Amino acid sequence: MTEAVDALFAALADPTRRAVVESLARLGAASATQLAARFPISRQAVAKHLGLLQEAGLVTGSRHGRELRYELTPAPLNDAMAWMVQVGAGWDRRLAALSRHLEPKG
Amino acid sequence: MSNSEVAREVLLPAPADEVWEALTDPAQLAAWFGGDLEIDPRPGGRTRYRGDDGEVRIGSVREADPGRRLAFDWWVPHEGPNGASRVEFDLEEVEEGTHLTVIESRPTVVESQVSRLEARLQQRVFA
Repeated sequence: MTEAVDALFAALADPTRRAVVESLARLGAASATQLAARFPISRQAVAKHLGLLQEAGLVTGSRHGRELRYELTPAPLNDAMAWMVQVGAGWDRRLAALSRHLEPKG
Repeated sequence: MSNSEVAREVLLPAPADEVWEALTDPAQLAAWFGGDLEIDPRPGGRTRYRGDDGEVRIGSVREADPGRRLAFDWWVPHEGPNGASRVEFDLEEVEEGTHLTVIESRPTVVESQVSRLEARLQQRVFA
């Protein structure tokens, strides 16, 4: 039906990254070190996943003293979904009307 | 760079030249599009839209190949063409009528979010 927001979906295709997103949703904000403690992978591996999530616009990092803390930015997913639903519904309505309009009369 | 994209396909009970007329003739557009849409179907031609809800969009035709393909960008005037989405109609005549594909796409929201963040940062810098 649709093809959308490749970067977002690619970022969320990986189960570890989904788990990282879930953890951030629960924790609010966390450093790579704090997140690594919750997963059976290294801090470097977590940092790599966070980098990809950040590229996809799902996560932002901000510096607090010596620590880089990450948090979710759910807006892109919401915006993209809202746009697709709204625009898709518009075309569904128009194409149904166009199909009726072109039906042989009589 | 990726796009947000909505795609629809429909089999229409008419030959491609009639579908083309329905896509470009203002009187016919009024019958199905919802709101008033005017398209000048040639590259660089203007498009102008006023929805039943008062929404206004202006735009510009990118491609017009009668009976085959029509593509235009449209945008909300105060947002300007950087906020445009692109509409592409592809027509393919088949035995039962015309297969019409519509794709509407716009730059990924990740980028628009980045530009919003930049705007916010600038506000902070100049505040």
